[in-house]
Amino acid sequence: MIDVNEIKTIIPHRYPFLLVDRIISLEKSKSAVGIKNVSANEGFFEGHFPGNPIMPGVLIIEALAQTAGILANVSSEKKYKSVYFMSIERAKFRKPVVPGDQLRLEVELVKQRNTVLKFSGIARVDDKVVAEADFTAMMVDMEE
Amino acid sequence: MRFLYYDRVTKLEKGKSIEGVKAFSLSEEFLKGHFNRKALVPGVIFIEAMAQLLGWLVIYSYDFKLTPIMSLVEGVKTTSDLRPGFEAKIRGEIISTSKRDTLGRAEVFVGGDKVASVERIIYSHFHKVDPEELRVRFRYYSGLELKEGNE
Repeated sequence: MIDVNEIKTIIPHRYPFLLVDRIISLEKSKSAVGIKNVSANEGFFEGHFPGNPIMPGVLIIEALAQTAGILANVSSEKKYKSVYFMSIERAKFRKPVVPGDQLRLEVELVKQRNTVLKFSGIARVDDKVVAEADFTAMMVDMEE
Repeated sequence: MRFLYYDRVTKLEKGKSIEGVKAFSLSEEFLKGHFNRKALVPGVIFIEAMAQLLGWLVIYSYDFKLTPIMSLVEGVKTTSDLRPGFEAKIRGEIISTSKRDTLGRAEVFVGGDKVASVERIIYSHFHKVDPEELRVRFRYYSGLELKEGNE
Protein backbone atom coordinates (compact mmCIF):
# COMPACT_ATOMS: atom_id res chain seq x y z
CA MET A 1 0.00 0.00 0.00
CA ILE A 2 1.20 3.50 -0.79
CA ASP A 3 -0.47 6.23 1.27
CA VAL A 4 -1.00 9.83 0.21
CA ASN A 5 2.11 11.12 1.98
CA GLU A 6 4.25 8.71 0.05
CA ILE A 7 2.34 9.46 -3.18
CA LYS A 8 3.45 13.09 -2.77
CA THR A 9 7.07 11.98 -2.77
CA ILE A 10 6.48 10.11 -6.05
CA ILE A 11 4.50 12.59 -8.17
CA PRO A 12 4.46 16.41 -8.02
CA HIS A 13 0.66 16.81 -8.03
CA ARG A 14 -0.86 18.62 -5.05
CA TYR A 15 -4.20 19.91 -3.77
CA PRO A 16 -6.54 20.63 -5.51
CA PHE A 17 -5.16 18.61 -8.38
CA LEU A 18 -3.99 15.45 -6.65
CA LEU A 19 -6.57 12.89 -7.68
CA VAL A 20 -5.27 9.68 -6.12
CA ASP A 21 -5.65 9.06 -2.38
CA ARG A 22 -3.96 5.71 -2.14
CA ILE A 23 -2.36 2.92 -4.14
CA ILE A 24 -3.62 -0.47 -3.01
CA SER A 25 -1.58 -2.65 -5.30
CA LEU A 26 1.28 -2.22 -7.71
CA GLU A 27 3.29 -4.53 -9.85
CA LYS A 28 6.38 -2.77 -11.20
CA SER A 29 6.38 -2.03 -14.93
CA LYS A 30 3.02 -3.75 -15.21
CA SER A 31 -0.01 -2.48 -13.35
CA ALA A 32 -1.33 -0.48 -10.43
CA VAL A 33 -4.62 0.06 -8.64
CA GLY A 34 -5.36 3.41 -7.04
CA ILE A 35 -8.24 4.70 -4.94
CA LYS A 36 -9.86 8.11 -5.16
CA ASN A 37 -12.63 9.00 -2.73
CA VAL A 38 -15.01 11.46 -4.29
CA SER A 39 -16.54 13.82 -1.74
CA ALA A 40 -19.26 16.45 -1.99
CA ASN A 41 -16.63 19.00 -0.97
CA GLU A 42 -14.61 18.63 -4.18
CA GLY A 43 -14.19 22.10 -5.62
CA PHE A 44 -15.16 21.09 -9.15
CA PHE A 45 -18.68 20.11 -8.07
CA GLU A 46 -19.43 23.79 -7.54
CA GLY A 47 -19.57 24.33 -11.27
CA HIS A 48 -19.93 20.82 -12.71
CA PHE A 49 -22.82 21.11 -12.62
CA PRO A 50 -24.79 23.61 -10.52
CA GLY A 51 -27.39 21.55 -8.67
CA ASN A 52 -26.23 18.35 -10.36
CA PRO A 53 -22.79 17.28 -9.14
CA ILE A 54 -21.07 14.96 -11.64
CA MET A 55 -17.32 14.39 -11.59
CA PRO A 56 -15.88 15.74 -14.87
CA GLY A 57 -14.85 12.86 -17.14
CA VAL A 58 -11.51 14.50 -17.86
CA LEU A 59 -10.69 14.37 -14.16
CA ILE A 60 -11.37 10.63 -14.09
CA ILE A 61 -8.86 10.39 -16.93
CA GLU A 62 -6.47 12.62 -15.00
CA ALA A 63 -6.86 10.34 -11.94
CA LEU A 64 -6.04 7.32 -14.12
CA ALA A 65 -3.05 9.20 -15.55
CA GLN A 66 -1.77 10.08 -12.08
CA THR A 67 -2.06 6.44 -11.04
CA ALA A 68 -0.12 5.63 -14.22
CA GLY A 69 2.47 8.25 -13.25
CA ILE A 70 2.94 6.60 -9.86
CA LEU A 71 3.34 3.22 -11.55
CA ALA A 72 5.89 4.63 -13.98
CA ASN A 73 7.87 6.41 -11.26
CA VAL A 74 7.94 3.44 -8.92
CA SER A 75 9.05 1.25 -11.83
CA SER A 76 11.88 3.52 -12.93
CA GLU A 77 15.09 4.21 -11.08
CA LYS A 78 14.90 7.97 -11.45
CA LYS A 79 12.05 9.27 -9.32
CA TYR A 80 9.86 12.35 -9.21
CA LYS A 81 9.04 12.63 -12.80
CA SER A 82 5.89 14.17 -14.00
CA VAL A 83 3.54 12.56 -16.45
CA TYR A 84 2.74 14.86 -19.33
CA PHE A 85 -0.45 13.90 -20.96
CA MET A 86 0.00 13.69 -24.74
CA SER A 87 -2.93 11.88 -26.22
CA ILE A 88 -5.98 9.79 -25.56
CA GLU A 89 -6.64 7.22 -28.23
CA ARG A 90 -10.08 6.57 -26.83
CA ALA A 91 -12.00 7.24 -23.64
CA LYS A 92 -15.50 6.13 -22.77
CA PHE A 93 -17.61 7.51 -19.96
CA ARG A 94 -20.23 4.95 -19.02
CA LYS A 95 -21.73 6.10 -15.75
CA PRO A 96 -21.76 9.41 -13.91
CA VAL A 97 -19.47 9.58 -10.87
CA VAL A 98 -21.13 11.42 -8.00
CA PRO A 99 -20.29 12.49 -4.43
CA GLY A 100 -19.88 9.48 -2.17
CA ASP A 101 -18.43 7.26 -4.88
CA GLN A 102 -15.11 5.55 -4.42
CA LEU A 103 -13.18 5.34 -7.66
CA ARG A 104 -11.05 2.29 -8.20
CA LEU A 105 -8.40 3.25 -10.75
CA GLU A 106 -6.89 0.28 -12.54
CA VAL A 107 -4.05 1.00 -14.94
CA GLU A 108 -1.89 -1.22 -17.02
CA LEU A 109 1.33 -0.32 -18.78
CA VAL A 110 0.76 -1.47 -22.35
CA LYS A 111 3.91 -0.26 -24.07
CA GLN A 112 7.00 1.75 -23.29
CA ARG A 113 9.46 3.43 -25.64
CA ASN A 114 12.03 5.46 -23.73
CA THR A 115 10.05 8.16 -21.94
CA VAL A 116 6.82 7.64 -23.88
CA LEU A 117 4.40 5.28 -22.21
CA LYS A 118 1.11 3.86 -23.35
CA PHE A 119 -1.43 2.91 -20.73
CA SER A 120 -4.82 1.32 -20.58
CA GLY A 121 -7.04 2.31 -17.67
CA ILE A 122 -10.39 1.34 -16.21
CA ALA A 123 -12.20 3.24 -13.48
CA ARG A 124 -14.80 1.40 -11.42
CA VAL A 125 -17.30 2.27 -8.74
CA ASP A 126 -18.72 -0.70 -6.81
CA ASP A 127 -17.25 -3.07 -9.41
CA LYS A 128 -19.10 -1.32 -12.23
CA VAL A 129 -17.04 0.26 -14.98
CA VAL A 130 -17.62 4.02 -15.00
CA ALA A 131 -14.90 5.02 -17.46
CA GLU A 132 -12.22 3.50 -19.68
CA ALA A 133 -9.29 5.21 -21.34
CA ASP A 134 -6.32 4.31 -23.51
CA PHE A 135 -3.81 7.10 -23.23
CA THR A 136 -0.20 8.05 -23.91
CA ALA A 137 1.97 10.08 -21.59
CA MET A 138 5.52 11.28 -21.48
CA MET A 139 7.72 11.21 -18.40
CA VAL A 140 9.45 14.52 -17.78
CA ASP A 141 11.92 15.44 -15.05
CA MET A 142 10.54 17.69 -12.36
CA GLU A 143 13.02 19.35 -10.05
CA GLU A 144 11.81 19.13 -6.45
CA MET B 1 -13.29 26.10 -8.37
CA ARG B 2 -16.10 26.72 -10.79
CA PHE B 3 -14.67 24.48 -13.44
CA LEU B 4 -15.50 26.81 -16.29
CA TYR B 5 -13.01 26.71 -19.12
CA TYR B 6 -14.15 29.40 -21.48
CA ASP B 7 -14.62 33.09 -20.76
CA ARG B 8 -16.55 34.19 -23.78
CA VAL B 9 -18.24 32.88 -26.88
CA THR B 10 -17.07 34.83 -29.92
CA LYS B 11 -18.92 33.07 -32.71
CA LEU B 12 -21.98 30.90 -32.75
CA GLU B 13 -23.71 29.26 -35.66
CA LYS B 14 -26.69 27.14 -34.71
CA GLY B 15 -26.29 23.44 -35.51
CA LYS B 16 -22.84 24.06 -36.96
CA SER B 17 -20.02 25.68 -35.06
CA ILE B 18 -18.91 27.67 -32.06
CA GLU B 19 -15.81 29.67 -31.17
CA GLY B 20 -14.72 31.00 -27.83
CA VAL B 21 -11.78 32.18 -25.81
CA LYS B 22 -10.33 31.27 -22.46
CA ALA B 23 -7.64 33.31 -20.72
CA PHE B 24 -5.41 31.20 -18.50
CA SER B 25 -4.00 33.14 -15.58
CA LEU B 26 -1.65 32.14 -12.81
CA SER B 27 -4.47 32.54 -10.30
CA GLU B 28 -6.38 29.51 -11.65
CA GLU B 29 -7.01 27.45 -8.55
CA PHE B 30 -5.84 24.12 -9.95
CA LEU B 31 -2.39 25.57 -10.69
CA LYS B 32 -1.63 25.56 -6.96
CA GLY B 33 -1.36 21.83 -7.25
CA HIS B 34 -0.17 21.50 -10.84
CA PHE B 35 2.47 21.93 -9.82
CA ASN B 36 3.60 23.54 -6.59
CA ARG B 37 7.03 24.45 -7.98
CA LYS B 38 6.05 25.04 -11.57
CA ALA B 39 2.67 26.19 -12.87
CA LEU B 40 1.58 24.29 -15.96
CA VAL B 41 -1.91 24.02 -17.39
CA PRO B 42 -2.90 20.32 -17.23
CA GLY B 43 -3.53 18.82 -20.66
CA VAL B 44 -6.93 17.50 -19.60
CA ILE B 45 -8.12 21.07 -18.99
CA PHE B 46 -7.92 21.78 -22.73
CA ILE B 47 -10.03 18.70 -23.35
CA GLU B 48 -12.57 19.99 -20.84
CA ALA B 49 -12.54 23.43 -22.49
CA MET B 50 -13.36 21.87 -25.87
CA ALA B 51 -16.05 19.64 -24.35
CA GLN B 52 -17.70 22.54 -22.51
CA LEU B 53 -17.79 24.93 -25.44
CA LEU B 54 -19.04 22.36 -27.92
CA GLY B 55 -21.55 21.25 -25.30
CA TRP B 56 -23.09 24.72 -25.31
CA LEU B 57 -23.37 24.61 -29.09
CA VAL B 58 -25.42 21.41 -28.69
CA ILE B 59 -27.65 23.04 -26.07
CA TYR B 60 -28.08 26.16 -28.18
CA SER B 61 -28.78 24.14 -31.32
CA TYR B 62 -31.63 22.35 -29.53
CA ASP B 63 -33.09 25.57 -28.12
CA PHE B 64 -31.98 24.84 -24.55
CA LYS B 65 -34.25 21.80 -24.38
CA LEU B 66 -31.55 19.28 -23.51
CA THR B 67 -28.21 18.93 -21.84
CA PRO B 68 -25.32 16.96 -23.36
CA ILE B 69 -23.06 14.69 -21.30
CA MET B 70 -19.76 13.59 -22.84
CA SER B 71 -19.81 9.84 -23.35
CA LEU B 72 -16.84 9.23 -25.66
CA VAL B 73 -13.71 10.95 -26.94
CA GLU B 74 -11.38 9.62 -29.61
CA GLY B 75 -8.20 10.85 -31.24
CA VAL B 76 -7.40 13.37 -28.55
CA LYS B 77 -4.14 15.28 -28.63
CA THR B 78 -3.15 17.77 -26.01
CA THR B 79 -0.28 19.82 -24.58
CA SER B 80 0.86 19.67 -20.98
CA ASP B 81 3.75 22.12 -20.77
CA LEU B 82 2.12 25.54 -21.17
CA ARG B 83 2.68 28.06 -18.44
CA PRO B 84 -0.32 30.33 -17.75
CA GLY B 85 -0.44 33.85 -19.09
CA PHE B 86 -2.01 33.19 -22.47
CA GLU B 87 -5.32 33.21 -24.24
CA ALA B 88 -6.59 30.05 -25.88
CA LYS B 89 -8.98 30.09 -28.82
CA ILE B 90 -11.38 27.18 -28.80
CA ARG B 91 -13.27 26.04 -31.87
CA GLY B 92 -15.86 23.32 -32.09
CA GLU B 93 -18.22 21.96 -34.70
CA ILE B 94 -21.04 19.49 -34.92
CA ILE B 95 -20.45 16.65 -37.39
CA SER B 96 -23.81 14.98 -36.94
CA THR B 97 -26.65 14.97 -34.47
CA SER B 98 -29.75 12.96 -33.69
CA LYS B 99 -32.39 12.95 -31.00
CA ARG B 100 -30.22 10.76 -28.78
CA ASP B 101 -26.70 12.08 -29.30
CA THR B 102 -24.33 14.44 -31.05
CA LEU B 103 -20.96 13.83 -32.67
CA GLY B 104 -18.51 16.69 -32.98
CA ARG B 105 -14.89 17.73 -33.14
CA ALA B 106 -12.90 20.57 -31.64
CA GLU B 107 -9.53 22.31 -31.51
CA VAL B 108 -7.62 24.71 -29.29
CA PHE B 109 -5.14 27.31 -30.55
CA VAL B 110 -2.66 29.40 -28.62
CA GLY B 111 -0.92 32.16 -30.52
CA GLY B 112 -1.72 30.50 -33.84
CA ASP B 113 -0.43 27.06 -32.79
CA LYS B 114 -2.76 24.15 -32.36
CA VAL B 115 -2.24 22.89 -28.81
CA ALA B 116 -5.10 20.43 -28.50
CA SER B 117 -7.68 18.66 -30.63
CA VAL B 118 -10.41 16.04 -30.44
CA GLU B 119 -11.25 14.13 -33.61
CA ARG B 120 -14.45 12.65 -32.27
CA ILE B 121 -16.49 13.58 -29.26
CA ILE B 122 -19.89 12.08 -28.57
CA TYR B 123 -22.43 13.55 -26.20
CA SER B 124 -25.50 11.74 -24.95
CA HIS B 125 -28.55 13.95 -24.67
CA PHE B 126 -30.49 14.35 -21.46
CA HIS B 127 -33.89 15.87 -21.82
CA LYS B 128 -34.80 16.60 -18.21
CA VAL B 129 -33.77 20.22 -18.14
CA ASP B 130 -35.06 23.66 -17.32
CA PRO B 131 -34.65 25.58 -20.60
CA GLU B 132 -35.11 28.96 -18.91
CA GLU B 133 -32.32 28.29 -16.45
CA LEU B 134 -30.01 27.04 -19.22
CA ARG B 135 -30.77 30.15 -21.23
CA VAL B 136 -29.92 32.40 -18.29
CA ARG B 137 -26.68 30.52 -17.67
CA PHE B 138 -25.68 30.62 -21.31
CA ARG B 139 -26.27 34.34 -21.49
CA TYR B 140 -24.07 34.83 -18.45
CA TYR B 141 -21.31 32.44 -19.50
CA SER B 142 -21.16 33.32 -23.18
CA GLY B 143 -21.44 37.09 -22.92
CA LEU B 144 -23.80 36.98 -25.89
CA GLU B 145 -27.06 38.83 -26.14
CA LEU B 146 -29.69 36.31 -27.11
CA LYS B 147 -32.68 37.70 -28.86
CA GLU B 148 -35.96 36.23 -27.67
CA GLY B 149 -37.68 34.06 -30.24
CA ASN B 150 -34.65 34.18 -32.47
CA GLU B 151 -32.76 31.18 -31.14
